[in-house]
Amino acid sequence: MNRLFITALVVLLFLAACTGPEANEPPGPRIVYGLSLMPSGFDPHINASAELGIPLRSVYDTLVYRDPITGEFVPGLASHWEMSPDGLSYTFYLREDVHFHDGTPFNANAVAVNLDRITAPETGSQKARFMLGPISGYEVIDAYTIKLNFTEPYAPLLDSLSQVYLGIASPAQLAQYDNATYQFHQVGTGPYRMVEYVPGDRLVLTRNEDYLWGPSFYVAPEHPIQTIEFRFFEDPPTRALALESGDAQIMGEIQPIDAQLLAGNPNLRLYPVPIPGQPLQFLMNTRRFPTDSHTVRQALIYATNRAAIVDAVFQRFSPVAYGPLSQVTDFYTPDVAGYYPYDPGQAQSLLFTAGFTETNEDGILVIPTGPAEGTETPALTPTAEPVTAGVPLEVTAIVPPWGLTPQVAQILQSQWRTIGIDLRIRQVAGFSQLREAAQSGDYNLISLNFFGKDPDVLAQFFMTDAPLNWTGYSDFELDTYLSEGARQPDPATRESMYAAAQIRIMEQALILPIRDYINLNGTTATIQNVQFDSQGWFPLLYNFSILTPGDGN
Amino acid sequence: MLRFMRQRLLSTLLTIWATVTLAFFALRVIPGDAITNQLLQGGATEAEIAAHRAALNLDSPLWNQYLGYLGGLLQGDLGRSLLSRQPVNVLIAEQFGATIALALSALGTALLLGLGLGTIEALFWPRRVGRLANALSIVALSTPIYWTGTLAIYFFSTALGILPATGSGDLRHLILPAAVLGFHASGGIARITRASLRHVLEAGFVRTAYAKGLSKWQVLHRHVLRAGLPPVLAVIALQAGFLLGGTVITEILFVRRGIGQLLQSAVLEQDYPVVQGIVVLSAIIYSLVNALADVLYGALDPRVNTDLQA
Amino acid sequence: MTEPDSVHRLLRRPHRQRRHYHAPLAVIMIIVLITLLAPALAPYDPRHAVSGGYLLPPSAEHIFGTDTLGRDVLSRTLWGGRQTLSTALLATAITIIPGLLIGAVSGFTGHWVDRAMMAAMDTLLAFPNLLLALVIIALIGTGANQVALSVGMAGLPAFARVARAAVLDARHRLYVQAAWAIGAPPHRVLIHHILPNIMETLLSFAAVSLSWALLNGTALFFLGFGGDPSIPDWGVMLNEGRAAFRVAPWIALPPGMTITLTVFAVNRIADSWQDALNGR
Repeated sequence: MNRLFITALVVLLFLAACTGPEANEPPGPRIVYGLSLMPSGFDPHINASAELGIPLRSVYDTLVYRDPITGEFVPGLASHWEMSPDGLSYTFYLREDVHFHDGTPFNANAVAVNLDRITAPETGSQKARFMLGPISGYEVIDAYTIKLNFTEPYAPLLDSLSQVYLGIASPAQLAQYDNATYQFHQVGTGPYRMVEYVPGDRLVLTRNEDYLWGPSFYVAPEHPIQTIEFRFFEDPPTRALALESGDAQIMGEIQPIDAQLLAGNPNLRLYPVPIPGQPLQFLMNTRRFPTDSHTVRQALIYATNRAAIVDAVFQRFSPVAYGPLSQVTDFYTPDVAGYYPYDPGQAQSLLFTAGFTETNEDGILVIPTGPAEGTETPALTPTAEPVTAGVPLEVTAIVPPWGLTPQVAQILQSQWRTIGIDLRIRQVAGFSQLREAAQSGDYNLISLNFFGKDPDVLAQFFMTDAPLNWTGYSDFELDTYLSEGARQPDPATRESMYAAAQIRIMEQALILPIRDYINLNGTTATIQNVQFDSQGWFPLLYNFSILTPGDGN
Repeated sequence: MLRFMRQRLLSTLLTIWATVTLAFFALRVIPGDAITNQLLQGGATEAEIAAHRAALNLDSPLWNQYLGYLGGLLQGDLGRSLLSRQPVNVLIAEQFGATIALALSALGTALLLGLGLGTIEALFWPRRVGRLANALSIVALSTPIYWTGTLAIYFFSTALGILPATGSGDLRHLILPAAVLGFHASGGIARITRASLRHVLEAGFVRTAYAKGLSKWQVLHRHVLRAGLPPVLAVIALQAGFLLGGTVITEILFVRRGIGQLLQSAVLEQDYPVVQGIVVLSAIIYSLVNALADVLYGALDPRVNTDLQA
Repeated sequence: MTEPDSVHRLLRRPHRQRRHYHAPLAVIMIIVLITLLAPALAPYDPRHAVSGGYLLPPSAEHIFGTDTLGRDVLSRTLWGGRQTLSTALLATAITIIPGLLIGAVSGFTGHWVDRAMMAAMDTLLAFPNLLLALVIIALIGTGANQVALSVGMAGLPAFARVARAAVLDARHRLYVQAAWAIGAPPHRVLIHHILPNIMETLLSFAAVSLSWALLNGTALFFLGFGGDPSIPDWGVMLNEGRAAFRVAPWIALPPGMTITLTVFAVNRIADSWQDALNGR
């Protein structure tokens, strides 16, 4: 009896001791790249996280690429392409000199196999499928030509195709492994090969010496990095520490408070990279008192000293955001900058107009019992709670734990308190609780933002029937701007549509934008040519160079 | 003995069934699931989400899903993660080693420290050494693990730079978390060791042993520890549960891979099959550890053994 | 396995002695007093962030310095006890009231009631304490009351087990047998004969429960499950202080030390009571 348990103990100990042998890798410089989050899955066709793209961007090539400087679409696996006049189909002419890491030749069939996989319902794609928009199918014209067909024109297509989620995987490998196991055996055509992936521990890439078909902005450095080991550093306060101690040579999402330390360290480098998409923002619930009032919404933005927030929470590493898109997003309009500068006086007078003319014993504004003269009656929509006199100006914010949003909310609370707005903060634990809170409708502000170079991201939040329409706002005009923005192939038309949409969103004060997202990357000084792609998150590892070659031998 | 084993097995299975059932229904109190969350963030429409859920059988009646899950469980199949599509067995197996490594090395630390402090306390009370050991063991019980952890990271990683702060790679990554968790768990062990040894020290046979002229150390070795340790072992079994709970926050704090991390993300992302799998694991470990404690207790204390065989 | 053998042994000790728990008791009284007087004692509004005044080191103006957002750390520490202590007390109440009820009924009734109740407790016990609290809070959402509920629930099965053991033990004592013999009704036996005699054991374990509630409760606040982070709380402050520990160690030190001191004092009291039960 006792022996049995001792045996069990020994087995357990043995299990514990097994940390897995290191795989054999060719000699050459080796670095550790710190990822800030551990994705639950690493299959770019299936999973949706940005972190998976940090390594995998260099494992796969995409049909097209975006030049990180100009934002232009440049040839990738497709040497050129054309769109039909009606915008319903795109024909891609593929390179003929490309082969996958496993030797499989790249051709139109390979693209077809990938499209099949991504669009098949049983694949359960969480992002890639939706990046293809209203795709209806494809035609393989010849061995190196493929035509993608759409039921409706879909302007964001090239941007989608330039992202790793639509990277082209080896058909041979896809045939060999199923949807659950392919992520451990990924094979692409990119400048790095995947050596191994140990969930929760590491993902290792090694340089693909055969790589000759990179996009124009891939420039081979003098001292390339042979092997890159991606490890997970999910705890923000210890990320900078790992760089200093040499546990990692590159690290994303350094805490702003540590970035200052890092900038002063001669052995380390700081690379702040702006991320296109939505800024850190609070969506305002237009269906609930008091944010159902346009005037109150405007007042809330006027009452916010964003520069002070950026100063304290982000150590001035971020530009203040004034609109629904960050400055590096396609079709960002600088016109939004005129909306609602910090002006507490203006905020107060707006609140006065909205009926909040008195202050209660706690210093919070209230709508007095008798109607005050010269004030506008607060908007009453059928879905809003009934406005009773004497109700204090109480605003509820739902904040997720990430992105220093709780800190931002606390400063908001302190700022708003001084002019009589009572902000109640409810920090939730994750996306599921955020979604639950949104569904309950019991909020005035809720913070969520997505990233992406193409402004089509706005449609997920501001179209009337969008699943994430958490402002509850419905406007035919805005719907038109957003749907036409996604349909019109002509960039100039798109630009005017999205400019109108951004202005409309700010005119209606649907969001309280705070700051553009800046990814604070840190590296050791030995790493050079540190560059990122147009989406901001993904490093161009091929270009990275390392001083003192032979360091990793 | 056989009857005892059979009862044990039965109660173990019952506990597992009850915990799984509880977890299965409790988890579904919140609407939504991991896949809905992911799809929403990926840009899917409501119709597309509904189609996905249907494909994963998430829209069938709860009883149906429950029976299906139990059926799988009987065959040792814990289902698949909604997010990574990996079999839950595999996900848990991958992380289990790291958690066990942490738990066992922490248990080792806790035992050394706890038995040592407790024995010193029992023997040297009320002298200064005894009081110091007492104070230390209470500090261990009183300091929140995240506070000890923060201080440890600050001293050993930031200031001295001799140990990595977070992560899970080689043995160096294990030292800080194991020490912090072990220190924390040593308090309870010290406490019970002290109580048990003091009790024995007062017992008649110990006085007799002294009277026979045995030296203090001989008495300690032959009589006191022999008689005083069984209750300590029982508490260590309780500590094992405590340690597993402690590994969760330790893993989160030191960002170590392991069951704790897996559980935290699965709970927050509503990846039900993974949470249920960990519940099953937890129930199994709990039952095993308790059975182990009973058996060890019996082996070391003959009275209990006869009781069992009766 | 049921409860540790030591519990039985504790209970078999008939004589009691006063022990020195005056010092820890005084510490707790002082902490509670400070917490109650926080509005009068705190030099600043604990939620007011001074623009540009963040990360100020300790000075005459801010004795403990300011935090990452520019709030006075001393004021937040003084106020912080309110949420931390009240959450822990609420959690302890959630642990001991149903725990005592379940334990007493279970130990007193015996038979299938006992078995069913203890099976239910075992089901919960199969989750390690903090792990159970984590799962519960993920289900019921964030907030101070939710923290109290999940921490209290997590401590419940252990308390019920201890209460049951104590009741079982007392049931077999002579005076209880005597009460039965003279035909006292069950509830009378329970309330007048059993409960008074196991009070000290229960109190001692209630103190232990309180220390668990403090540790686990602040842990959940530390992990960000407390709902509103602007409400001062020692666990929340520790989390904020941890993020800035290299730059501004003064943020985490006061709440860290205060939690340790409070739990230490509670544990000392629990220890003294236990020693008293042990008769030394």
